[in-house]
Amino acid sequence: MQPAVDLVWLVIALPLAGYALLQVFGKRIGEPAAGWIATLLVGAAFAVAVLASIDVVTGEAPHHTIHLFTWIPAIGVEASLLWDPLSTMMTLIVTGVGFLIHLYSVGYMHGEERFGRFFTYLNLFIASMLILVLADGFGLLFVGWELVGLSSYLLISFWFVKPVAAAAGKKAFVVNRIGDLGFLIALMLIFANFGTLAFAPVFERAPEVLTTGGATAITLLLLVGAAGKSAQIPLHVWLPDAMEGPTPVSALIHAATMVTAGVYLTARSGVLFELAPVSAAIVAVVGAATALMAATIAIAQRDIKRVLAYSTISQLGYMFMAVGAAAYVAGVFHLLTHAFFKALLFLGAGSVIHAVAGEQDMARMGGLRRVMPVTFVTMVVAWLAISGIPIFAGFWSKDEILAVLFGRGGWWLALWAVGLVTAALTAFYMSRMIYLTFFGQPRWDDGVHPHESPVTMTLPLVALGGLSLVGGLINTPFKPVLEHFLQPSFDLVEQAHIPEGITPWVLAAVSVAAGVVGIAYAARRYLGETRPDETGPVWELVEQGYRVDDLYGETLVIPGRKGAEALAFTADAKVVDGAVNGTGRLVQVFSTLLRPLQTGFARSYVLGIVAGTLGLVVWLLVRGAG
Amino acid sequence: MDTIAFLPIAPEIVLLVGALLVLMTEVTLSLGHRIWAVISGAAIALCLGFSVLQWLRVDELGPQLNFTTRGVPTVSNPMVVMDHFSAFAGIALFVVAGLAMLSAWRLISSLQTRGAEFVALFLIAVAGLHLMAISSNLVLLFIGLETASIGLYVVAGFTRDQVRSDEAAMKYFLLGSFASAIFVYGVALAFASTGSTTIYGVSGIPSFLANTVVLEPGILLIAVGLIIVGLGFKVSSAPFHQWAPDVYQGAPAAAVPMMAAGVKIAGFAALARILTSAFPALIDDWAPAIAAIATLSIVVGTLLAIAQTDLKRMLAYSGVAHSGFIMTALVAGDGGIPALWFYLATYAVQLVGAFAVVAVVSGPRSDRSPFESYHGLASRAPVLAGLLALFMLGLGGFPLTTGFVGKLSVFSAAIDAGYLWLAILAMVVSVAGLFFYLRVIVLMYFTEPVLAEAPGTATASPQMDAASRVALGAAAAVTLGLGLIPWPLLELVRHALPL
Amino acid sequence: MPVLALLVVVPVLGALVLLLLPRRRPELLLPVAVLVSMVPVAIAAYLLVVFETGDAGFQFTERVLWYQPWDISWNVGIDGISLLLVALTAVLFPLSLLASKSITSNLRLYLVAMLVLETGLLGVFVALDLVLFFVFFEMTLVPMYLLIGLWGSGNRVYAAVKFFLYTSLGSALMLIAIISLGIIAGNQTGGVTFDFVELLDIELTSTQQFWLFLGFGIAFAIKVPLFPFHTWLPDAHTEAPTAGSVLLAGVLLKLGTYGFVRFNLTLFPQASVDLAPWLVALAVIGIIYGAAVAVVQPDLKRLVAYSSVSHLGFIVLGTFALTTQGLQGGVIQMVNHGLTTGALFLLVGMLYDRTHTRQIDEYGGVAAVMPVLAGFFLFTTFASAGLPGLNGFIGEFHVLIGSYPTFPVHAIVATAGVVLAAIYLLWAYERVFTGAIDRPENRRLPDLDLRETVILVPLAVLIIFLGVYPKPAMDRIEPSVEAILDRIEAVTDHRVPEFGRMDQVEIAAVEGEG
Repeated sequence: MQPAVDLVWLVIALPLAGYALLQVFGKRIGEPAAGWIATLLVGAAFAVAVLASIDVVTGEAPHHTIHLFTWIPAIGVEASLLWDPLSTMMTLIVTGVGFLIHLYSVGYMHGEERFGRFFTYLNLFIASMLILVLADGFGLLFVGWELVGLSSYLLISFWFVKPVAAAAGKKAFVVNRIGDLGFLIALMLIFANFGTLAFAPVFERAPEVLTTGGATAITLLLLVGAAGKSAQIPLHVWLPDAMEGPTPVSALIHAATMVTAGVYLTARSGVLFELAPVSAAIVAVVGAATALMAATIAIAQRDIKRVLAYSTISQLGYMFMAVGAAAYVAGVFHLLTHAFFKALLFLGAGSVIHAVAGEQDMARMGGLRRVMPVTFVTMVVAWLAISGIPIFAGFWSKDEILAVLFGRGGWWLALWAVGLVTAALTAFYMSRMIYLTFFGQPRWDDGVHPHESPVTMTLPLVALGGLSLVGGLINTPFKPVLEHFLQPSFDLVEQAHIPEGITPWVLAAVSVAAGVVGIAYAARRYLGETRPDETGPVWELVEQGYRVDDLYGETLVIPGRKGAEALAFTADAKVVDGAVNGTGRLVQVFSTLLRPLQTGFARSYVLGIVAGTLGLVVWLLVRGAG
Repeated sequence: MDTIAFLPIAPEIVLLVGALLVLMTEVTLSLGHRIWAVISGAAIALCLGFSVLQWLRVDELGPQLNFTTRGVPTVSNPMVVMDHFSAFAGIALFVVAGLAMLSAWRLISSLQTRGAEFVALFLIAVAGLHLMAISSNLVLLFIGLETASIGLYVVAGFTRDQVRSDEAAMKYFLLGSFASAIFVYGVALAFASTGSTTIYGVSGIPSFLANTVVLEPGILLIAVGLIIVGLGFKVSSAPFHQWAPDVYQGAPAAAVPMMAAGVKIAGFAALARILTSAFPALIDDWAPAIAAIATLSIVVGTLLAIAQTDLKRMLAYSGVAHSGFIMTALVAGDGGIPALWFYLATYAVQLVGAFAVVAVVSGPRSDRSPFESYHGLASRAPVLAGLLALFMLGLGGFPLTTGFVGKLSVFSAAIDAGYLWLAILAMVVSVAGLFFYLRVIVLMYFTEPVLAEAPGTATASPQMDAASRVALGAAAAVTLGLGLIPWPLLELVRHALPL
Repeated sequence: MPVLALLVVVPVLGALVLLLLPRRRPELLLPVAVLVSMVPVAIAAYLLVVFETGDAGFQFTERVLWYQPWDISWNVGIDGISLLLVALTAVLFPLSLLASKSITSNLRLYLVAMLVLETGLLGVFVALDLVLFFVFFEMTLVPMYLLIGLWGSGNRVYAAVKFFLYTSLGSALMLIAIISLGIIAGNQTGGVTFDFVELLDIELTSTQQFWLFLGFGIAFAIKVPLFPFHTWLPDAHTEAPTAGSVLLAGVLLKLGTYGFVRFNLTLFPQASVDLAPWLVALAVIGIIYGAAVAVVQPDLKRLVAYSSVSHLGFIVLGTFALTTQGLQGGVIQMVNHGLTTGALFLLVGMLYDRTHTRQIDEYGGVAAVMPVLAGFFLFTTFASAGLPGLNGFIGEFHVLIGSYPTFPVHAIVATAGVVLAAIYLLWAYERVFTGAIDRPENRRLPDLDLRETVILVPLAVLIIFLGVYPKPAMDRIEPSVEAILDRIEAVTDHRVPEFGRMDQVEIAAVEGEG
């Protein structure tokens, strides 16, 4: 085994060390040193990952497991890392994009009083995410799964003085926890069935161990977990609120990495989904529904970050459709490209917000292309990428997904249609965002003087811009490098592939057309002189995400609290505790009932004695006789 | 044995002589209470010595039956018996008597000349109580009982200036005589159906029952029943208990310990000896009756104690409950006697201790001891409060005090005898009982003192006199010491069985 | 060297020393007490090192016959289970004492009570003689009663008396059961005995087992506390002084769960198997119920108290799941809950020392002025909410995994407790620490001082260590747990399910349900 591979643990250790260091000394180190330390450690992690990935890439030895120590003996949970193509790719994304976003943050968080603390959490997240993707079993994966939830919580509510931020953080964690419930129960089933949680044995023995029912149960539970992390219906409500966090966080956690964990999990446990076609179908359908719904909501957002948030949800839906359709490579491929352009979009948005003094309402932007060219250009690249314009990264991955869906035929065609419509919608709302932000007349308040962001911020933009531009070429129909690279990770599953022959080209044309239509319509609507009227009940309903939050509030949260209050202040205080105190009171009642017997008169005492005597004697006689 | 051994009745002799000496010294050369202290102290100490000596003699010679009606030693119908049982009864009784005397000393010294009478009566009463424990003849036992009672009737009413005291004495006298009458009637019926009044010996009741068929078993049962009632009254077990609270309260605080503790020792000694030695054959008849009385005593005593607001009355009612616990041991017959002894002896000591505190807090003459006077005692008199707390935990049967070991042994005996239900009931009720023992601690520790002089509160910060210091110290030492290391006493009582 | 005797006796001796300290040097009291309480820590550390891992039997046993006729003896020893609980107890005491700075009135008595309490608690965990066990079991009551009643707050007397009487009721029944057990043994072996190890060998009919199980079980259920016997706990926890709450939650409650594991499972295996469904049901109700009630508590301490009801439910669930993982989880969860909830109560106490209120709505945004305290609180919160990597998760994970095969439905329902934990804890954190400070008096609250940090750091370290590397602890628990289950398998028809065979699992599940 190559020495580099043995160092994989360093990939986690480095950011973790950064976390520990900054947790203790972060305040003293302060700005900017803390930021640089964190950034460099993640960079180092990336470097190690690259080194270690060499012989995986060359395909010499695609599978490595690095055993660190035994974590939970009784359940056989080993702290050991899996270093295979899939985890390699994820690691590279996390550390690579992570590094860029760290770098960006050094500039973005400038002047923040808790500057050091921010990078503490950022490093913690990177470490957690790496545990998640490098875990060699469901047990350790769950650790990362929860830890990313933690760091997400910490970062969303980073500005905890804002009540909304604090609430958003809690909401994100709790909703994720609800998803994790499914994951946890899935773990219980898996261990009950296999007696282990390690990937290899589970996947190898799954076919003979699991009944279809068992497999369906497990996979559906896994889906619940995945839906929670990846903000799929019905657990998508936390992600828009998560935008309360600093923008780099949105870029890193809520676009590029953490939210894709659900996709990763599904792809990783493809074997199980293969045994449960129903679950797989449900995954795809959930993905489709989410993709479509989120896309429509994104159209109606005024807040630039919320547009991107819903866009993310929608794109994750795409990935779910893919993995649901057993097109794991396609899904992971889209995960990759999406990481590039969505991170870029968020960072660009951050740069914009930075420029207009923290304003996030697109109605108060406009005409920014002149003042911040770098941001503008890179954003345009990302925009075209996500709109599926050829040669841009998004085009390749999105088309592969659509093609596969089409190729499955049957009712999958419906999903393909949904995907197509979503593509058009995506192009539309993205164009809307770009137009409103960069084109038209400046609408920002007086006293705001937009300016291009510092180099620490623009550098990552450029880098990601480049990736969004060419990143898709890694897996073209002509040369599917990524597919071959990832193949070892999916040896055990039967993958769906894009149909042969001319069909893909037609499909590509159609989807490009859809994108173009979206862009064109947006141009007509938003580049014109008159601002379209965006009001009305329907519009507001959509803008508020179909009021799902209110629905949950009225059907779950409020009744739940009412119930708990009834339990606490009636059932517990009155009934259960009442019984206890009641017993005590009862005794006292008895004693007061007895008191009158103690009259204080000798005669009544004599009476007592006589009565007692007679009673006793009679009883003795009766017993003696009988 | 050819020579008449006086050892068995040596304590009686000593005590009577002591009593006479006290009176004589008073009338002849009134030297004041110091001399009485010397005499009575010496007397009780001597008695204790004799009891120990008795124990040792029994160890080497085995039990002795002495003193027929004609004064010659015989085994036909002995009057008194010297066995470990009587010896231990003596030891327990005289220890308690000594402590009671000490805690009463403040009262005695405050009585001037009449103190002599008090001491004399006290000694005579003790003699009577001891006689109850050692006599093997029901008639002699009755004499002892009356001797003790009469002495205590007077003691109860000793503080004439207080109305309650008179009332107490009166009630005690009336009801006491009534109970004695019942007891005598029981003895008579026993004689009628067995032709004997002796517990041991060839012409004793058991041998008769063993050799002949009783024609009228009913009479015998009535006899047993009446005897139980008579003694049950003395040990204040329900439903014969109602005198206790009034009398305990009316009598001067310093006089109560003997009334409560001493009488219980003697009464239970007599009851145990009669039932287990005279009527072992009828155990299936009397054991359930005892169990019933025990149940009633525990329940009634506990429930009524909860409602009390005066420590003296509370202790009176808890005394009822405790006699119930002690009876719980008796249902096991012979097998229960060690448990009975342990519980009885240690309870008596705790009780004396508790009343000694009362005597200090409320004054030795006081007839009332309302809870108000214990508010915040911990801050006013920490030592006193600590001691009372200890006795309360002891009475509550808390581990590391003798009370726990007592309950442990008593319930073991009952369960062993198949009275599981009784043990469970007793145990559960005793938890309710904890409530009122705890309340005293709550008052002393968790509440602020009410400085408005509550009636019965002697002083804001009560002071202990030397005598009660000794008494309390000893009582506490026993309660805690034997609570931590009960083995010696347990070992002793295991052999303290009747002949 | 009678190391266990030393362990148990040292605190009481220390209490005597305190009583002898000169009245005019009150400043000596606390340091001396802390010093004394460090001795058990040292001994516990020694035990942890010397303890023979992999040996299921009792180690460091001492047996000094006290009273032959009843065969009562000073009979002590520890196995993997008691070892950890002894360590937990030893660790929590110095910290609680350090946290008692705010105690001014009658400090001497307070410290004496604390040290007596320590002796009682340590004694319970090492006692192998039932009477000895009972004595120690009861011995803890009086000091705790005083702690609550004398140095408590608000409705302290009510809470103290309720605590004392309620738990005494259980003890009363247990005492009867102990005596009966000893006598039954006497009838079989010809000599009454209360020696735990000897009692293991006596034959009990299933009826006897049933009633004796109840006798012990009710006492333990009240101590745990198991729903619906829990209502003494919120009052006691809330009114007790900080140290009292810490020890109450940290150790005292474990007396119940420990008793279940040590005595009910081993002495009455048949009854344990028969009654397991009921106990598990109550445990799961407790998990959900306690959590749900905790959510809406306006009083921070009360909230933590109810969270204990929920967490202890997990312990009981794991215990009576009667699987290796479940039982191991139950045991380790005892330790974990002691650490996390102990830390939580310490933190609440530190808040209280600053503001003298426990009402959540009288706080808000204080993280801005007390970042370190907030950090520790959040950390503990996540440990308590079972975040992987911290200790709380280890226990809950064992329990859930372990109880699934025997009680699938219960296990699945119990997982909801994990979500609820996140809700009530994070919501409380949100309302106390985040947002803007709306009350002027909260503007200049001081952050943790050195003493408080010193108190919290050891707990934090242990929380992380047990979360990241529980193996050493589990390795010590495992043999003892196996021994208990082997015994159950030997004398009952219960079979500990083998994981990885669904058919078996289903059978086991059916048994569990039936």
